[in-house]
Amino acid sequence: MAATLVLLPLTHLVLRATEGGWDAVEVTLWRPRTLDLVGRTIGLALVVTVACLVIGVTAAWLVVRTDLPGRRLWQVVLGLPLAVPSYVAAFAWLGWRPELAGRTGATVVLVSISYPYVYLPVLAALRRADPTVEEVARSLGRGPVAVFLTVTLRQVRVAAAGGSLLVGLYVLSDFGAVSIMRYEVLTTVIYRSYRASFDRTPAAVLGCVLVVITLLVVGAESRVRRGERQDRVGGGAERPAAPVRLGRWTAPALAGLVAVIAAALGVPAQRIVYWVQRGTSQSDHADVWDAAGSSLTAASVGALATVLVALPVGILSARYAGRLSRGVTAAAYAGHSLPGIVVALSMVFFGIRVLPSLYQRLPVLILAYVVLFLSLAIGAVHASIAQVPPALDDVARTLGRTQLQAWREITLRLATPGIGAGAALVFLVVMKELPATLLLRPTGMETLAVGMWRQTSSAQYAAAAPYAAAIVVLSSIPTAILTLPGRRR
Amino acid sequence: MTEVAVHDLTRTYPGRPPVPALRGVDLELPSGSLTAVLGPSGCGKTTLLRILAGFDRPDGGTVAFDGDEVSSQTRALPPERRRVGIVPQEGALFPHLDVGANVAFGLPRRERGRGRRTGRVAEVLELVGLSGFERRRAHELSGGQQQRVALARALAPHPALVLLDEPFTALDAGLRGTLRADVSATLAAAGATALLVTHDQAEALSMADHLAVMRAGRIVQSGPPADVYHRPADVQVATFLGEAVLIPGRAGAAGVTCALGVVAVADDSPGPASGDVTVCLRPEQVVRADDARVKATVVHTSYHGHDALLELDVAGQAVAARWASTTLPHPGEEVGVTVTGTAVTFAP
Repeated sequence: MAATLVLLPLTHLVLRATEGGWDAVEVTLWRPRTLDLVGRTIGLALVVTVACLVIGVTAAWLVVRTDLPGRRLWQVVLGLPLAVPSYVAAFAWLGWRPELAGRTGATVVLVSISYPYVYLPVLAALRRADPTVEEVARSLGRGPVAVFLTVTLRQVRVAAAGGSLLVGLYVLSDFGAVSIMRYEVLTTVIYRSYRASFDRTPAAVLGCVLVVITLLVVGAESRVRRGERQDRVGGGAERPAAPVRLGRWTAPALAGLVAVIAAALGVPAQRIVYWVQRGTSQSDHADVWDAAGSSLTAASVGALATVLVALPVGILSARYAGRLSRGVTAAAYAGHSLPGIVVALSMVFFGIRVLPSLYQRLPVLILAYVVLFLSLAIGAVHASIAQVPPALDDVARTLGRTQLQAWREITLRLATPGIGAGAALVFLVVMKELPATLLLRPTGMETLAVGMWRQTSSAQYAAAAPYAAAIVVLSSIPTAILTLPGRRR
Repeated sequence: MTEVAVHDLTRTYPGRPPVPALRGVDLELPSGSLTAVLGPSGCGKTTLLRILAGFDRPDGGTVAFDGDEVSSQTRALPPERRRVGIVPQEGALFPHLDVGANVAFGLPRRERGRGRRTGRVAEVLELVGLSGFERRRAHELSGGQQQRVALARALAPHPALVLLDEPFTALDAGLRGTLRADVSATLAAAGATALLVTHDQAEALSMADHLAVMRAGRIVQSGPPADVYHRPADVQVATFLGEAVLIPGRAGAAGVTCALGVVAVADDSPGPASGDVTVCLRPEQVVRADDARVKATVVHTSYHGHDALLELDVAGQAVAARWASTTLPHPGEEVGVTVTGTAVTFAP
């Protein structure tokens, strides 16, 4: 069922695109404008990914392997920009430097908030990597730079590739930053052509093009991954590597990291505070409160529904590994890599055809959230179920519990904190989600993200600020739940 | 007290190729006894245990408790209705419950409530030597204590059969010895019929009343531990249960003639009554006797503290001997040796 949930709307997107016959498709497809758009989209994704790769790997190496002052604090701070929604960052940058609008602005904003996708996995890989290997390489006559290039980088290759994939997918699917920066790429054009004209074929065709690009990126990444194994040979105790002395490079390294954080966190924070102080009268407080209410509703219902759908899939994949559960999980992950705008568009067509009475009602929006974020919830459910030893269930059975009772009293009981964390994560991402909400929200419902986007796109920066502040405040609740160390019983 | 009868049990796991785990297992667990099933990993002993517990269903054969069939190809009584207690490898205590609640988990609802510290829970905790531990949590206990709690939890609802699945493998060597003795004593005191599954021969030999050696899905030999140890059914059982001296010999009416002289042969020895055989002895049967006719050269000694295992050369044959470590000969020294007890012979 979960698999159909993901694939069914997509089928409708393809159906809708080809409905007018191949001629209509080709007309849209071979317009120079389309090729130009594809070029811009891929170009932006490439530039951002490469920049993130350089920043992410360098930052991770600096905080793990060198004597950088305050590296423990840096390790945490450098991951935080992940929590900043792209449209909030774009709004802040545009308010500060309006001349950046367009490609430059979009690039700066996307790099500043998505480099943690590379930084975090590379950080983890560097911590895990065996420093002895590097020492052996040094003793075999390689210099420090050669060791970094041939051994260290090699150890983080898979992590960096996985991170780059996430950045690429993020940029391809981003709608908020590019639309606020007024840089036209596939997502914004899909949205506009959907809104502007009665003929929705172009939107559907462009949606399919975006899906194809996404799949190509995923495919390319799995090629890098295949055949690459990072085995830790030998059972020696893990021990930290002797830090590299930065010496006179300390100041430039620090300055670089400060610049990254200033761009990613400083600008949004400063701008929100500035606008909130200056222009409280510019927006209606009642509207913001309403929007906060809508956001909370959407996020709570979305999180609940997603976790409910994820439960059986996660249980299946954790306990009964087989072809079926692998297939279902793969389908769920496919949903996650699809751009929000495409999923939303598919939902529109699916809704119009199959559930016309529900179109532009809350259930369809919730369904879109489920498709988009199911894999996050499945991951959480899977991990928390898998850490409960099956032997506990067996013991409970022998002590007089039926299968169902054993599940309820033992496995689910023990997995609850992890599943709860999964729900908090979905809550957070639903709260920040923009394109699907924009397209599918019930008439008259305005969430914080939508409200902010609307104000910003008409250059009402002061009016947008309270929305941005509210998003940051509300997002910090689940973030706190997720990052505070769980109480161990 | 329950008598358990396993008859011709087969179980094959589907796959390409199918994996046969049990190929016709027959086993009797006398009421109130502790039976050990000993075998290398992958021999099918865990499958046997899971079928007895009701987690798995056989492809053929039956399991009966006191004559009532509980497992067959068509019928399997669910685990919760079998009255089987299980002590898994690492205790598997419920981490969200304290010791008292863990032990009370299998008791009827009315006995689980408030009065639990005076009733059955206290009784079984005392039995395993952990009186007063009710309010502790699993992670506050040592590995050995966790296993004791797991045993108490299994015993609390008066099970018909207690299954112990390699319960001591995760513990360090020193602890294992004491715990083995305590667990056998506890099981005997509770009068429970018990099955211990293990790959550790010392554990099986020291704990069990009855020993069954399993290999490749079959029980190859069963009987009292001393019988199986001293009269193994074949060479593999002999070496699996401990150090063995295996040398060629020639069987005759007076016994078997080999490098160690003429040695008496056990009555039911599987080898032929005459002709070439393989002679099997335990190292502790080869004793030092300086005036003996048979001379041996010490090749190597490995010192174990309480005793030592010596590698001897007797007329070109390698012979192992286990002697007390008080007065040990040096490598290269020549000593007289003789054999006590009887040997077992196998076809060469």
